[in-house]
Amino acid sequence: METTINVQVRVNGAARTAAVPARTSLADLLRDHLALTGTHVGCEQGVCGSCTVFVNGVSTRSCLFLAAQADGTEVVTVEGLTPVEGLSAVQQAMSDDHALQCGFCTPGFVVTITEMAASGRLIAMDEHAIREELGGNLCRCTGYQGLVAAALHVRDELRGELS
Amino acid sequence: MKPAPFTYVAARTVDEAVRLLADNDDAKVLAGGQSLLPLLNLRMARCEALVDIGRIAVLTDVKVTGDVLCLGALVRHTRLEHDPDIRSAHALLAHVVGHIGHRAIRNHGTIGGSIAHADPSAELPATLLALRGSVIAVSTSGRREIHADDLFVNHFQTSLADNELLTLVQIPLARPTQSWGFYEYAPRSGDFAQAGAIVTIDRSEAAPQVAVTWFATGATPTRVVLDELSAVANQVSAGASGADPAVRKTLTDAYDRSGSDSGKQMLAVTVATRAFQRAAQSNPAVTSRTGGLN
Repeated sequence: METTINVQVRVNGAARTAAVPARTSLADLLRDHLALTGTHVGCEQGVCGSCTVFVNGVSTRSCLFLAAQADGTEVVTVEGLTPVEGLSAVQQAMSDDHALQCGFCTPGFVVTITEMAASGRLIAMDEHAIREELGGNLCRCTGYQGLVAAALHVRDELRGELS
Repeated sequence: MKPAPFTYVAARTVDEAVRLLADNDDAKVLAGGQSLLPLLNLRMARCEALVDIGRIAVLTDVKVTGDVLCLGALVRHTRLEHDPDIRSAHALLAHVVGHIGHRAIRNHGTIGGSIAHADPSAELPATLLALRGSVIAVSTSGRREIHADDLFVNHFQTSLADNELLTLVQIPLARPTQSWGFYEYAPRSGDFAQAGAIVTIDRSEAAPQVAVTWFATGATPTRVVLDELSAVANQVSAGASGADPAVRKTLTDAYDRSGSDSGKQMLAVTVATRAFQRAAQSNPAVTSRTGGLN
């Protein structure tokens, strides 16, 4: 017998509710119940990073987080990181630096790089540290060169703002 | 893949959690979920009931009691990595968690969960063993302390009973006479280690000791006190080299006696000699902070 969970969660600033089976992941809640398909499901083991979202301000593998655990939390997905018009600084850098092809891994990278920038860590990172930090997001198309370039680009913009 | 169906309860207190565990012998504890949920997703593990302890606030407490660092079971890896109070209590913790997965995993994985899960290639169980720590286990029958030496039974198996909840991790504070060195080999950063070692050196006159704790080399982490090196612990200094054949022989003999996977001997001895080098080069009585090299 399976529990049905009544989930109340703020997603991208809006209060959302759903009644879902207990084993529903946050990823499945977002995609199948809240029609937010920007978050992708790849490995369901936490390795590929394509499901990465923010929960209460910290990056989270939504495939390793139950919808039940998300009850009462604030979730931000790639849809919530995209401005009404245009692109965020991270998204713009990724576009400029050819950091995407098929787009499957892209939302996860947007979340990861956004967190690196917002947390204050990115500004102090060299390329080696950036490559290590991006190691939790896998891309099968680009060979990572453009993704690293985009993160360096965002870092340099952050540094530029201070000088 | 999706997990098989289960019932789910979010426990609000430790008492409620242990009562739920007592009531259902096919119940599992959900802490950070970063080890359990992949297993449930792959259906390599199944349970009838999930008891979520993630909202029990007292399990996130961190305090120093006497000369022991007490970490609630729900303290997340990210906090171990960045909390300055935890780092000053024992810097080895901050150092090892950087090797666990990646940022998003570390944001949610917990020290209690990692230790209770007892993956043979995990860093935190080995750290508990190397630092002579213990855990507190609570059930409806009461509360007991389990020393690290008695905790890890087999791969993915601890001496915790099915109805026991690990609530607290206790680690002795770092002392000025102690240094440590850590080295693990993983094909890519964040991968599970293929072999790892923690070497501790205590240069005190009363109880000099050199010990090595290996992990990812057998069913559980394993600790060996190196008697020959312990006798000269206070002479082990920056001049000591892991390439010293006497050190390598000591480590090789210790590994062969430890009952670990003989197929990994060369890798295990190599990681141990590098960990030894790092421990030897760090002398906290001389430098102003404890710990080995990064």
